[in-house]
Amino acid sequence: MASAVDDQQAEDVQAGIGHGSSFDQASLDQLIPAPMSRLRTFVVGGLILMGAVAAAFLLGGGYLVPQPTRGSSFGSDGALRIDREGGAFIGEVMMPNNSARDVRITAVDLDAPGAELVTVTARIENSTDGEGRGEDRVASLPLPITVPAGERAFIAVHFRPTDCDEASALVDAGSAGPPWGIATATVDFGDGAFPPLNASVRLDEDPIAEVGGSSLLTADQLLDGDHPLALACEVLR
Amino acid sequence: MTGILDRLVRVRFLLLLAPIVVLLVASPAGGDGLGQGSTAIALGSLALFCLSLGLNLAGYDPDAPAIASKLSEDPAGQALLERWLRRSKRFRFVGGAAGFVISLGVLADGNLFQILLFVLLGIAVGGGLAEIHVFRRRSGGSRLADLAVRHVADYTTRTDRWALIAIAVFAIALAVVSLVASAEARGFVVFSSLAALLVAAVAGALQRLVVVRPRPALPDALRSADDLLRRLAATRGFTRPAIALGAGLLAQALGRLGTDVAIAAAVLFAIASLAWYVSSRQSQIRPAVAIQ
Repeated sequence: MASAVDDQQAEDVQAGIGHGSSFDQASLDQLIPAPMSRLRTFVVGGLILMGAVAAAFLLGGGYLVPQPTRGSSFGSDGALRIDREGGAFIGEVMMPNNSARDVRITAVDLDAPGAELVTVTARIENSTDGEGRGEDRVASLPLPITVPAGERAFIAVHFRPTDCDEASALVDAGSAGPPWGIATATVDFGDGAFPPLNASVRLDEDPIAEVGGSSLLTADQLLDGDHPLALACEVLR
Repeated sequence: MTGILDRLVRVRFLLLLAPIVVLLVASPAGGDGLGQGSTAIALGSLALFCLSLGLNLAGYDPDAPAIASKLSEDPAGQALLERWLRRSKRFRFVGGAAGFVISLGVLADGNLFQILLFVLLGIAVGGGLAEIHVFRRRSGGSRLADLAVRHVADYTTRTDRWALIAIAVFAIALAVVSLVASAEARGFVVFSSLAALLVAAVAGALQRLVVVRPRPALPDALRSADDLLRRLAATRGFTRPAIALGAGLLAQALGRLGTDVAIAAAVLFAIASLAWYVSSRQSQIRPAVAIQ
């Protein structure tokens, strides 16, 4: 009813009724487009809004751009391990895939002052596996590796100390020091997938060392230290 | 009935409040499902939301005739201004609503300020698109054109022009300063700064487009109304939402730098953003200040 009243009012104004005179409608149309009908206006506006909803769904679900860690808080805790064959130490970093689409990890970079990245492997842990394999350690595989939607990848970064003086500084900084060993994963949707986009995911919620302090798991004992880099330097000494 | 609908359209915060009420009432915290009262409240809120959204999408604007009649005494001028008021308001509403919806998909952490930036982006884009009708196909035949030279400065305010310049200058300066900031903040600050620069540049270009777009030879009264329309379009239509957006983007970038001075500046930019948004609203239009 209100719509009808409003429509009539709009038509009256356009026709000059109620203003004491009539005027050239064509002149107005040249200056600004004639309004659409109320129904058509509603439909067009509704379609635009539905398009926005679809865009929000696709973007939020990670269908258009890989964003596996979006909206999640995560972290893992584990001892360093020794990669004796490679002469390196292994820290594990977790990357959950909370998006609705599988993503593939193609490369990993490591921000770890005083250490260099030697190699990277990764494994998928399916914590919801009905056969109870969820807690099993699966052998790490070289990249690239695909992380199914809803599952988690544990990225094993193999690093080697390059500057043990840096380790002393990190130990002195103690809990005031910055997080150490932050991995950045490059992810995409896989070969031939659409859209062919990749993204960098900084895994700063799960650094190798949050506030200093670390442990190293060897074949026969668990060593504790003030910092993973210091621990690695101590073992090498 | 019409009065109720008018009020429903004017009180737009219902569009935000109603879904919140539905969520609160329908949340499972109560345990054994919804009682009759809760169901009624939830359904009532939902109905209000749908009705308000539908009216706004349909371009129902009870205030346009009154504002137009205050701005022009000529019937043709009133009709012209009413057309623009309805068109601009509808485009801005749809743009703002789309920006809000997309922000919910894009932003994971529910950052309220960033949601507001998306809404401002939608309003600015909507307000700008409302003016992009200069390229539409026109009817054939001979026409008489108004050959008067028009200048952007005659249709915009000095405050708005300086605000656009200030945003551009600050954006460039901030991008440069961010080069010495921490590596983590640098990318974000540069992105926000360049986005603010782009917003200022596009708003400036669109101002020019609106001012110089062709005008047929018109009676004096209608020409005056068209001048006023262009002033309103080049200020409240899209420029002020764009200034609000640019200031908001700079506030966001400054906030990320984290120093005391930067945070103080960020607060100032955030206040400027809010002020320019408020001054862009059609409800703020008064006859005496129509060209301000």
